[in-house]
Parts: sequence; C-alpha cells; structure tokens
Amino acid sequence: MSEVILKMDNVHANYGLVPALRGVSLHLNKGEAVVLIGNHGCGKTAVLKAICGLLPVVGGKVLFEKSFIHRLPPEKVVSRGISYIDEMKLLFSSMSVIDNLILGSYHLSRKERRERIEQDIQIVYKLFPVLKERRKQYAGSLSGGEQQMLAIGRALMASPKLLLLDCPTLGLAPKLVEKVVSVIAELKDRGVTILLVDQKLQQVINIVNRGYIMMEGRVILEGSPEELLLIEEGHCQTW
Amino acid sequence: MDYSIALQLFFSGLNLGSIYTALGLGFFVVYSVTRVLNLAQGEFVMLGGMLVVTFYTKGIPLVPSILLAVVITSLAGAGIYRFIIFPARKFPGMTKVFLTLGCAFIIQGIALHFWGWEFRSLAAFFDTPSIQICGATIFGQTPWVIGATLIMVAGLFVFFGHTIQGKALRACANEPLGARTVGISIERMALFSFALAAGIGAVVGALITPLTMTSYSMGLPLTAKGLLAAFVGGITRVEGVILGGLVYGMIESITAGLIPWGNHNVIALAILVGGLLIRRRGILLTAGKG
Repeated sequence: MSEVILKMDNVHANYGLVPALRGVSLHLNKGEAVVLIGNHGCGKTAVLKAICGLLPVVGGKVLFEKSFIHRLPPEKVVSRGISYIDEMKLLFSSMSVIDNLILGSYHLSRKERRERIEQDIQIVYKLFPVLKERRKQYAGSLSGGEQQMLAIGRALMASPKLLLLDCPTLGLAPKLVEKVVSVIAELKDRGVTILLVDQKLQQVINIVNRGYIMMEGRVILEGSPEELLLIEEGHCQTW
Repeated sequence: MDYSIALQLFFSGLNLGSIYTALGLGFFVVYSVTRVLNLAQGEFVMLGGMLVVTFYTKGIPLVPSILLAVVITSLAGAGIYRFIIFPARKFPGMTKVFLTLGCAFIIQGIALHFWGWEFRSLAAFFDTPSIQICGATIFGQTPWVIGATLIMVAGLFVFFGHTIQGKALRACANEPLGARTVGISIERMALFSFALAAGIGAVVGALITPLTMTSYSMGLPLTAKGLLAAFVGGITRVEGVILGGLVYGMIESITAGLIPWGNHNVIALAILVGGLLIRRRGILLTAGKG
C-alpha cells in the first residue's frame, strides 16, 4: 500500500463570509498525480489554497507527512516541501527571470542554497530552455506560456515534495499545453507528488492516477481518470 | 555670472542634493517594500541627529556615537512598524500613511520632552576644515555628506540588486502573494524595511547636524523635502531618488544664489511641484512602469 503524504480531513474554509470548503476530505499518496475537477466555484482552487496556507482553514485538519499544517502561514508551508502555482502565476513581473528563479529557493538555508542553486537552475533550464534565453528579461515581458514555464520553474527551485498546480494549462496554445503536461509527467516520474486543478480533464488524463469531483465545496466522488472522464462527458452540459 | 559664484552654487547644490538624496532613500526603502509613505522619516533624521549630539557631548567618540544612534533609531523604526503599522496592516494604505504621521508627532513630542526646544549642533566630522577651490568654499562637512550618501546609494544598489534578502524585499512590493508562496514573510520584510529606513535616517541626521543644527521640530520639514525629492525622480527606483535629490538640491541652491529676497525655498518648491504636475510619476518613471 502506498504511503499517504497528504490528508485533508473534513476541512472547512471561507472566502470572507462565503463558505468555500464545506467538509472536504481527500488524500494523496506519495508520488502520484491527482486531479480535482468540477464546475466553476466548486472549491477546487480553495482546496489548493487551504493546503498551502493562503486560505485559512476554519475547521478540520490538514496532515502533511505526519504533521499538521492547517494552521501554518504560506511561508512555513513552503519550507515543509509544498509549492503552489497560482492560476495567475504570481510572478515578480518587474524582476528578471533569473531573479524569479533565485527567489524560488528563498526558504532554503544559506548553505543549502549555495550548494544547490546552480544545479537547480540548470535543471529548470533543461526543462524549459527558453527561460535560459530569456534569463535577463523581466518576467512581466514574457508570453503567457513562458510565464507558466517560469512559474513552474520557480516552484521547482524550492525542491517540493508536493506540487499544487492551479489550472496550469489555462489559456495556453495547444503546443504549450503539451509541453507543460509533459513537464508535469516528468516531475511525477521524479517522485514529486502532484495535485492539480484543470478545467479540461482530457488534457491531463494520461498523467494522473486518480481524481476527485467537487461540487459546492465538497468532494462528491473519487475515481480513476477513465471513470471521471465518463462522468465528465455525461455531465458536461451542467459543468 | 562670476565663475567662482557659479562654482559655489554648484558645490552648495551638490551638498543639498546629497542630503535630499539620502533623505529620499529612507522613503524609497519603506515604499519599495510596503507601498506606505512613511511620514515619520524626517523624525528618524531628527532623532539620529539628537542622539549623536547627546552621545558625543557625553564624551563618546564620534563613530561609536553615530553607530549607537543608528542602532537606537533602527529599533525605534522597527517598533513603529511592529506596534503601530503591523496591527493596521489590513487597513487601506492611506490609513497607514496617517498612522506614520501620528508617529511623527509622537516622536516629536518625546524629543521635546527629553531635549527641549533648543537647537543643538556639532562641529564638522573630525574637525575637517573648509577648503577653497577657485574662489568657492567647500565646508568641511560637505565631503562627509557626499561620501556617506554615495556609500549608502552603492550599498542599496548592491543590497537590492545582488543579495537574496534585497531581492526578497523587492519581491514583496512587486507581488506580495507571490512572495508568500515562495516562503518570504511579508511582515518580517516590512519590519526590516522600517528599521533600515530609520537607520538611514539616523545617518542623515548625523551628517546634517554640523551643517543645519538639529532641534525637535526639524523632522516634518525634512519629511516634506525628502518626499518631494523622491517623487520628483521616481520613488520606486533608487536612480529616481538620486536624480530627484540632486535636481532639488541644485534648484534650491541656484534659486538661493540668484534670488536676493530670501524666497528661494518657495520658488524651488514651486518649480518641483510644477514639474510633478507635468510628469506625475517622476522624471524617470512613465505611466504603467515602475
């Protein structure tokens, strides 16, 4: 049986006064890729934000590698090995590509950073050669696809054990979607656990192991990618 | 115009420009990180000057006096952030600006209580004598002002451009949420920026006391001048702050030299405000950038 790396137990969270999560329970096994699907506003992004600390958890528990993280601020969650990539990317637009990558390793100790930073940057450049070409350019001047690559690259600089991806293929051209999906697959092969939200299950079906369907702030179904695809196709008119 | 008078105005402008640049750096540091205009910055300058005079007159050598003043003023800056700005961190930006103004009056009141209303002064650092160049006089303190400003500017360039902590400070201003997702504590960075700005203010206070003297009430006029200098060049870029400071210093020096009836401050301010009306984001910044 696979080792559980993350467990959410009856998690409640609110956006202001509006409930976003109403008792979400799910788990992730080490090294697997899991997708969250559901209609707009069903709480998919809220799940990711509750895990990474951006959305305060008001009830329930989040367990990561045998320690509770639901009361930790985002900056502490990162140091536990969880990186979050927002739908809006949240890049430092007036800073260069290389500075964005360097800041991805911010939470590491000085010694760790000195030992690993060059090697980690080369790994990112190998995954996304275009970032090497654009390393001195402002992040804000990159195209949408390049910004997505930089967001993934920056998250990888933290050497995450768990990567949370919010709509990583949103708004990208088909070729770039292929590229991003292949990188996610490669990260999974390297042992990084992945939880991703995607509007189009079809795009990521080959790389995910399982998925959860959400509705109105709750997980309503868990299934294999094929099962989820059948359900999604059957209900696409309502989503 | 007589060559020596022109040279005198130039040196005077350079001296004033360095002071305004150094003043503007404090605003730049806090604004870059927190997007708050710290209206207590001038009080840090006053506090630094007062503390240096106090320590020096008690027999502590000049350099340790300055270092002590910097440490105490930095702690005051950190304290203002931690106990006044931090609890109001979720309030609108303008509320925080007014809170810093309130802090300015508190610091002023404390200074009046401890030091009274008298002006205090220091001799030029290490009793450096004035020098004559082609008929123009350079006061002994002027090289110290220019040199220290250059060192602070260079230090900030290196810090913000080449150290991970400096980059993290810039990242907080650029994309606070993104900064949190990479592990940067916004609160810690904001605290540091207030302490750093207060420390810079204390150095400026020590530098200008031999030239202008210091008193409990000098903070707010300095805040106004430093803020204007920073805005004229562009407060979000260190180059803008330098340019703004130098432009302000030169205009004030030239108007003081050419206009005999003593309204040079008003005229210099009017020129800068007029310039800001034409170029609202500062000389170096254009709409949509910076």
